[in-house]
Amino acid sequence: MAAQNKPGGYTGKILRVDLTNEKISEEHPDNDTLRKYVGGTALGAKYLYEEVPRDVEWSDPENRIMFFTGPLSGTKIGGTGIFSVISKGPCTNMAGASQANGFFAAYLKFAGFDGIIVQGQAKKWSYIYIHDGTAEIRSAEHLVGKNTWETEDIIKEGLKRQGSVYSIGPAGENLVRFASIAGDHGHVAAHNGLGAVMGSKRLKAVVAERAPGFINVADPDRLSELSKSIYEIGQKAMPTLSSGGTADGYPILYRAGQLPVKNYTTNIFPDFEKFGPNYLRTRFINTPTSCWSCRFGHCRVTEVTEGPYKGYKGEEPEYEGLAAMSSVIGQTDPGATVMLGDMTDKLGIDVNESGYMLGWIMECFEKGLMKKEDLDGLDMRWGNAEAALSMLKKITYREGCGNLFAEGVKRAAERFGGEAAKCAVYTMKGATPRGHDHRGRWAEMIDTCMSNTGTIETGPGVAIIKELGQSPFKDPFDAMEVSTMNAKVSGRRIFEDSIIICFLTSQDFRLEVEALNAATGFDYSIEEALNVGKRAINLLRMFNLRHGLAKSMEAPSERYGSVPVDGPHAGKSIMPHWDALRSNYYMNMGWDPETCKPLPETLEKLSLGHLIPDLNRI
Amino acid sequence: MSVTIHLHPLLYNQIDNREIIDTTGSTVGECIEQLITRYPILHDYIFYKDGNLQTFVEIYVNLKTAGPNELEWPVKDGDKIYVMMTVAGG
Repeated sequence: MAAQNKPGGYTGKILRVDLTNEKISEEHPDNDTLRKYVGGTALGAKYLYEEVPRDVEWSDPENRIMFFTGPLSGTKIGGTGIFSVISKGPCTNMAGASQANGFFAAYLKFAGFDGIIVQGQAKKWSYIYIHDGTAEIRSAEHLVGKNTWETEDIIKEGLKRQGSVYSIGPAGENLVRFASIAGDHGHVAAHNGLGAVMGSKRLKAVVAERAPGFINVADPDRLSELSKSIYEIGQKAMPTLSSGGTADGYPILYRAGQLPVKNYTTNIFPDFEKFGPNYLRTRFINTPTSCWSCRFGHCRVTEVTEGPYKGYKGEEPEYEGLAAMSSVIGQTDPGATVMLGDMTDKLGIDVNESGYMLGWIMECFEKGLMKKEDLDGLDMRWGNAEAALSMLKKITYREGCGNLFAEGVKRAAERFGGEAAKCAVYTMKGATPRGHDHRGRWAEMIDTCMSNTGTIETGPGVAIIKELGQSPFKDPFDAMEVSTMNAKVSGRRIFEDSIIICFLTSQDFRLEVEALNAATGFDYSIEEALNVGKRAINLLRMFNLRHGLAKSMEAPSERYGSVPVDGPHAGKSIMPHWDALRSNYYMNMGWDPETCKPLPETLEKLSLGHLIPDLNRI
Repeated sequence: MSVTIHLHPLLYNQIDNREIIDTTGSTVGECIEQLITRYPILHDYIFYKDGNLQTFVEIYVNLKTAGPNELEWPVKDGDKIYVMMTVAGG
């Protein structure tokens, strides 16, 4: 594609790095491809489907790991430092897509690239350094064993200008199945173990150094106006985000019966107020931090001022980190939560899976289903923060019992077996849910189980969007209504992960589409924008079918789908409806209710007709 | 006693972008009842068919969480009630 013809918002260049052959090249997606897939998750889905065939496992050098920006990345629009990582992930052994905020996407664009495709396996530990329109594969031998913060700090010391470093910690090096990729001191692409994919390639980090300049967009004046509007709407939609952060949701979700407590054994957690902003942001010493172009500034570095971890300084956990390292494991000291959440980021493991792993072990220990000798002598009582930290380190380094638990909740439970296996929270695809009790939030349980990425895909809570012509929920525990609604709003979240923007700070879908048009010069309608997301979902589903997806995998584990015994939703049971709601979801998605495959007409409608012959081969 | 209700964009989009509504009342519930009387379309966006607040509706008074029992939360002259919607994430 000639540079003068490319749409605004893009550099027009994708970097391909072959670690096996130490070869770096550039590719130039054509305008039709960009219009159809935009960027981020959707563009990654296209490459994943085309380049990772059936017999390639997640740890195979021929697996790809991609770091993709979108046409809004690095513009004035707030929250556009975010990028999407796409690969075949170890938890589900199917597609994975996970996003991290910060600055990486903006700096990668300034450095001259819309995305990076990494393939092969390096002979020695390496990192990719991208700067001034070029890239180098550099030795990372001196970084082996370093945690994610140490790695970032060491690499940044050698940069000429501002840079963004996303790396794996020792967990990724040791191929822990739920290893994460962390960067910009506290931002994490955590889901589906994509850090382990980097580890399998001996890729310690990706580094983007900011270059002078700016992103060329089609209509800069209109984009400036939209930037202001998106911020104003975001502020009206989330008036407490700046002051309270996502911790604001903690007490709210507790009262709504959606805070996960003691590995889904109860919904009673009297200490919940200690994890809301009224406590965390008044007692601890906090310093605001921010992502690229974001005026909300809701993130904090925090210093614990009381209790056994007084003086500990680290990133204030986001809501899900707070839940994972407090209520999920029956732990009531906010200082310990800060320490444990921060350590998961530094060791490079997903905080959600870590929480459900620790919660499962603690429940089993308390019930006598696991003995001290099963746990290398650790006293895994509910809430024992020091034992939790020791266990996280055992997992990270695959030491002793940690080698089993490093396989993730589902595989560890299946291998441990017996009654203990029935206590584990996971999806049958192999990932754990996010940090909520979905037994009080059916829309998200359905989404988590049906998703093709290893985490949520449709994003419940947006069901009333006027632009989508939706009427509001009548009953959140009506399985048919909820599954229908999930299918109808599908596409929006993946569209956002493709353009790519922070959904916390951007709340208006119509403005997002307008911003895309102002940046690119294209003329997407609402329907075409939604279809970008739906196209990606169907492409990822086709990928997953080729890699072993079956209908039976789209369900919760016994505990995940259990009936709450107390709290606001005691007695509510989703499982009697599961077969019906799953079929209903498939039909509303245009999928065969028996095989869970997309119907030919669905693929045709989404301009994926070229995949129809593949339906018979998967 | 004047109490203003500040609506989430997804709500004020339903009523011609009227973002702030003046009401009177001594509890959040009384003020929201006035809101619904004037704009009945908002009822189904805020409440379920059984009359309970939707789980993803959050009520703040003067930017502080009003809970538990949000509808019984007392308000006084000059207070600002925020009716917000949770987004998934974090």
